[in-house]
Amino acid sequence: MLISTDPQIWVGALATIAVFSYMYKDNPAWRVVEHAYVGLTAGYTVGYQFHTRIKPTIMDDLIGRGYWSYIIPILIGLAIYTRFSPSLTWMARYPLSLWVGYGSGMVLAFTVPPMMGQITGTFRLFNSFDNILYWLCVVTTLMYFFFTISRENPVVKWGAWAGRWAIMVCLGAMFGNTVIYRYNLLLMRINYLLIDWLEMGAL
Amino acid sequence: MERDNEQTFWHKMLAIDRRILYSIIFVFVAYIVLFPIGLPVPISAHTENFYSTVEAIPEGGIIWLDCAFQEGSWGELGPMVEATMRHSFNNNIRVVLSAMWELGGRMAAFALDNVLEDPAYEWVEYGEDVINLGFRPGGAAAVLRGATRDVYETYAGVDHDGNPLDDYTLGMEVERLHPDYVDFSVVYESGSPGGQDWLQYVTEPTGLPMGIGIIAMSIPSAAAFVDAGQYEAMIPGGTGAAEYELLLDQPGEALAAQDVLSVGMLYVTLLIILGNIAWVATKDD
Repeated sequence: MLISTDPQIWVGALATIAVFSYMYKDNPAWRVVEHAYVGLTAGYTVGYQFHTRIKPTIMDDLIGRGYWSYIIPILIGLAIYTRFSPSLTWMARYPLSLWVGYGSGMVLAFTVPPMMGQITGTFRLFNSFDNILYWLCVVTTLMYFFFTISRENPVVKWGAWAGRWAIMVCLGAMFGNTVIYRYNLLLMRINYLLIDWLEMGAL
Repeated sequence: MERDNEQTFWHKMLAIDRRILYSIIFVFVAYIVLFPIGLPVPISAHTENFYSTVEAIPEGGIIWLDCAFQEGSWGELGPMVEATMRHSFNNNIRVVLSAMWELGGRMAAFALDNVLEDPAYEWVEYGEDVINLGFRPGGAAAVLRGATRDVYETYAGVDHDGNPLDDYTLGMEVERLHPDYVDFSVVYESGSPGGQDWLQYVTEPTGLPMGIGIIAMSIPSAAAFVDAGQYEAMIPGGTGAAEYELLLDQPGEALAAQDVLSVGMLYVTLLIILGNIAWVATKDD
């Protein structure tokens, strides 16, 4: 059996083992890696945000391409920090107001068409078992969330009961797929340990 | 006395130490990584449909692939991106890569490097047959809306590595993220922003058809959009990526993972059945 001589792979492998060790019980190795991870993530995020957001906007757009009008939104954005000064805190309301207005406008303009597509997608001909089942699942699931009509009404009662089953089937499918996703994560780590670190490969 | 023993067994089952369960999983996965079984992988209708959709793009056409994920989802989404690129290059379809996520640009570059390492794709020329626009700051909504009007302006005239788009034929040819310039688009999504943002800001306003490559966890929610015809096609999770590799007859990372996933799911199913039996057997105690 060979073993990697790359220090970077050794660090990754030891960190992986330290994280796995938590499954046995809390221990110092796990805590060292946990703290290092939190610190590294914070540092990395700040650095990455600077290089992918702030630097391109200032260096490439503002200075490089002469988009001087960007100064206005930058100044408005910086006004959010006036919250730290009680006498100037009123200025922080402007970027927030703009952000809320922008968000609302975008939602109103662009969210409706996809939602309509979802609604019209449920209009189906009753010409197959799949279509009938699909329609029943949609209607009964919606009935489960009827809170203004008493469940004593037999239509709502049995509809909600069927809707509950439809929801549970959907959650079951989501659970199964979540397990698969987690297995993929585990597989990536075990591949890393066995193939990248121990260089065992498929035998 | 016999009943007491039986109850003790099921009680023990319910109280089984989780470390034993984890160890079994670990041993299983490690064993299968080293000794692959080669279980069969049937092709699902979703993957078949995705394959046909890409197959229908005319030779010389353009497909736009957006990486809305980062390292944690590479196991499932990375092989999909690579398989789609291979499929496109096999059919002489040109590829534009972009990223709604900051680290997505790197994921796209990594996938491209992996594909170009294959001698079969030595002929692929960066800038001519493929280009990676990477990530642009400003929020998915603004960037996507901008790209539908002017790709060059939105991406500040540079690719993922900061090289000028003017130097690349493909970079200058795709003026807009629009059906006039692009034949099909695919979003590889592991969260938000993702396919729904693309649907809202690109597909609905411009009519550019889109497909989705999705992590297994989100298949049920994405399937609703496929059923409604809003997503034209879907690659469902790592299993879908493996099916795609099979359809291309180019086995890769995803196909190699299928044994682990199949055996792993069998193990979890077994535990759920045993857990339920144990619960029923002990619920009166």
